[in-house]
Amino acid sequence: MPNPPLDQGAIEKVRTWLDTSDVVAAVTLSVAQREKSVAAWELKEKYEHLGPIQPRILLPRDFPFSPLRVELDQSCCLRLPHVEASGNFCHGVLTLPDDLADPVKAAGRVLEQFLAYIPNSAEPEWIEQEFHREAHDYWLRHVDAFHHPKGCKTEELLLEIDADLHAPQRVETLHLGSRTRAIASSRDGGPKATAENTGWSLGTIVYGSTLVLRLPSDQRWTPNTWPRSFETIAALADELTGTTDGVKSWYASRQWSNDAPLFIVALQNSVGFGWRVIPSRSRASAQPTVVPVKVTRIDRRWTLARDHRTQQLDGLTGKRVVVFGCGSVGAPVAELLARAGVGSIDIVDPDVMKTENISRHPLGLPANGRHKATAFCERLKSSTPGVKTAAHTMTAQAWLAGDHPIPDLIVDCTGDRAVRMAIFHARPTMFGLVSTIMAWMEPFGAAAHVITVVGDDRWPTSDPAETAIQIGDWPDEVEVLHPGCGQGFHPYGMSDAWEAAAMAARRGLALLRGENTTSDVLSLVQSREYFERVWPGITFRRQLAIPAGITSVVERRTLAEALHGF
Amino acid sequence: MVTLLRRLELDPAARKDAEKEYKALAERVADRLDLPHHSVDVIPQGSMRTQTTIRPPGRTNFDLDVVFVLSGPRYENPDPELFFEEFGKALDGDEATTGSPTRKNRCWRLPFPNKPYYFDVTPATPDPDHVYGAALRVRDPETAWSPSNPTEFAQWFCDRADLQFSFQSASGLGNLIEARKSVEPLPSDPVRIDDILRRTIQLVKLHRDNVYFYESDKRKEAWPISVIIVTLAGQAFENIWATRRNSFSSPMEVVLAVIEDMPNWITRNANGHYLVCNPALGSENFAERWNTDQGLRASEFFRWYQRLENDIEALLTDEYSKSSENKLKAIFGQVGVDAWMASLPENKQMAPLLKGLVASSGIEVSNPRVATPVGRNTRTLA
Repeated sequence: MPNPPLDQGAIEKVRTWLDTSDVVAAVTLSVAQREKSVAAWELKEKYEHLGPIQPRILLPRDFPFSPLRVELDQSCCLRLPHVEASGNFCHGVLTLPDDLADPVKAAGRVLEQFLAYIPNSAEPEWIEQEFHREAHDYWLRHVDAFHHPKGCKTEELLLEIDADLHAPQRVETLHLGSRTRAIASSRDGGPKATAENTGWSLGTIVYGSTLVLRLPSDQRWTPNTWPRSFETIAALADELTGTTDGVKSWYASRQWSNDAPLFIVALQNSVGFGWRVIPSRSRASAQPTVVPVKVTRIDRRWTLARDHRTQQLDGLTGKRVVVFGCGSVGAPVAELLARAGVGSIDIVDPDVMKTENISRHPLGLPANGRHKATAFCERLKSSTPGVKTAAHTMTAQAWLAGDHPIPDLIVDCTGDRAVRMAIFHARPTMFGLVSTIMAWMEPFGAAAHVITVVGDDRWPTSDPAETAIQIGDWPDEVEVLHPGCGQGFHPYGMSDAWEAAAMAARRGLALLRGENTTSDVLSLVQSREYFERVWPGITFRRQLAIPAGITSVVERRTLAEALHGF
Repeated sequence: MVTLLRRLELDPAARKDAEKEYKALAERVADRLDLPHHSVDVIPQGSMRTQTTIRPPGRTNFDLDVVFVLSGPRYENPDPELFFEEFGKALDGDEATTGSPTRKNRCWRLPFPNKPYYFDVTPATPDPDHVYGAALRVRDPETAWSPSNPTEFAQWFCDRADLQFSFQSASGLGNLIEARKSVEPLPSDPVRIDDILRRTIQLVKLHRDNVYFYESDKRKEAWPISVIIVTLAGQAFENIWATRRNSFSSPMEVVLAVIEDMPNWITRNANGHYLVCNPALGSENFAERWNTDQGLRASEFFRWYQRLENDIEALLTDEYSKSSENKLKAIFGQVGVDAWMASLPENKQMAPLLKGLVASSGIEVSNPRVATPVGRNTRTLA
């Protein structure tokens, strides 16, 4: 038995309105419709171009929180725009605050859209324009509705090509384990490397190829214009590239087995339209069959930037950052940088993941007993396309003593005085003047500090972290001790750590993009009441005037200001 | 843009009514002239026949032209003046309906005060031997008789209007218009979106009416007459069809091309006289008066044509949805704006019941055709 409606009153008002109208006639709901809707009506008016189809109005059980629905017929999908495979008319009307008070008007707004749709849907040019405007959606419906030939299970091609596509490109391709998906990649290591990074199973490896073409933006892509045979795809490709038999010679030169994954993809702006190419089993000379497939881009420009401001992304892709410490701050910093597009990330941390770390570390129970650096690098590679990572299971000091290419940025998240001292001892000689960020938190997340040192600026060897930077003068008892050497901890939560990590990552990205290149100190400070609540009787090293009613502030000082007198 | 012209048409009910009226009139005329009913044939002519009627600005009535052909022994060799007078008298007697007939050059005007139209009724008699050059002759105050061939001219026009451009057929829109009957009933095919030639002429005539609305009577008198516009547009349309019928992607492009080509069909003979010949009657020069008015009509034509080109170009370079009321008003006058407004909610014709239902929900039904934000994701985050 379905749940009772959320707003019985609204439903009754619309029901009465439609029941008393002579424009519509109540009809019985099908069993499937009854789950989501409480009543249905059929429009009595005839629309010549819809033929025998009489549109229906469905009143959803959760109306007005879900809008009224209008249904045409399944046969209208891909014949008329804005009709889903179920026959549902996609009206795009969203719930408004006033709908609760005036549910009839809410229903009327949906019918108003349909009223506008009727004459439009009789005009071939409008239909074509609308199909083209949302070409990707309709292509996916075409893929879903396509009757796959026996033995072809492929529904999706994962495509990874980063380079700008100027000419048709041949890309190495593999089936994934289930064979419902395939992956084509032009990156180093090919599709195999991507699949392995991501943890996708490959099964038996059979290499194939994908031919990727660029489709101009204004090339109409609608159910009436898209090619449906190998012959017409080849003709389209020839037309686009100004060559003859480009697709045919690619296909004819094949050195692949019959079940190899072969695809053709037409890329238009950000979206791809693809076909699996299946050779004829009976005659080698026969034209192959083509099966439309969904193309899912997994390249960096799409996954990390939706093709938007790609120049900025490309800039970050070329950058390399070393993160010291893969704890509750260092791990999210690395993740935030990777997702923002930083191309290479080295993580330096000698520790292994323990179960008590779980409360505030992005790695969870499955990583127990593994090196945090190694496990987290794997996580970055599987979650973020194209990122290069290196795990160094050693201390930052040991890493600094080693021989490494110079990174663009060092982010120290160890909160360890010895590491700070080592960095600034090594910095002038080893790394030239590589930009350095140091981030740490005070207990209970009462404050977080991000110190940026660039160019000739230096962090004093006296390490005035407590005296120049800290807000609270925390007594030793704040540290909760554990029966083990150096295994105490300061109480704070994951949300506190991520706040600090976000501040550090944002500062790092600004540096990498060249937006903010001065040495400075950012301090996120909670109110005085917060300090006194988490540690009654606390004394302050520095006083920050935070006005009443404000819970926290971020203070920015230049490094010179912060270090004045040190 | 083109849809608005549909609204300028005489509506079907009024058309039917007009048809009824002129048939009744024909019977009355026959009775009063003591003729058998079959001796009075009625031939609609002019814009009514070619379906290029527009509602003139400042007036609300359509101008409908009909020719009454009187045949029988007494019309074998009548005196033109007597013939014309006698016919005028025969129109009297039903002033409550027709209003008082007034005399014009070749016709009698019946104002039909309670109707959205008035009739210009031209009496004609057969000229079986084409003594005056055509199948019919009409009284002309200057030449006694003039040839008249409304049927042939209309047929010439309709044949051209039926020419199809390839983009139309390809999109399945261009079903051939059923061959028109040669006489009697008013052409009743609704003027359709792809009826490019008629649309072009309506557009051009509307522009002309609007341009001349505030002009002096002297200039108005010299404006480009409809039959010249129809002839030039028809010839241009045929020429474009014959030479580049596959090179257009939309009806609008054809409209522009026709307008561009129109003046090329005005010719001048060795004496420098302007010629716009009746394509169905070579001896008739529609531009005859251009040659006897010290160039007034010719210069009016070219002055108006220059404005037409500029205005239409400016209008069409914008998308229709942006065709603001003011812009339309500047070019086509209030009539154009009214027609445009009326043309927008197409659903009025396609879904009147649904429209009523929507209105009953408390929504003011506007012009949803202008923008249909169907399927748009308007959520703040995606």
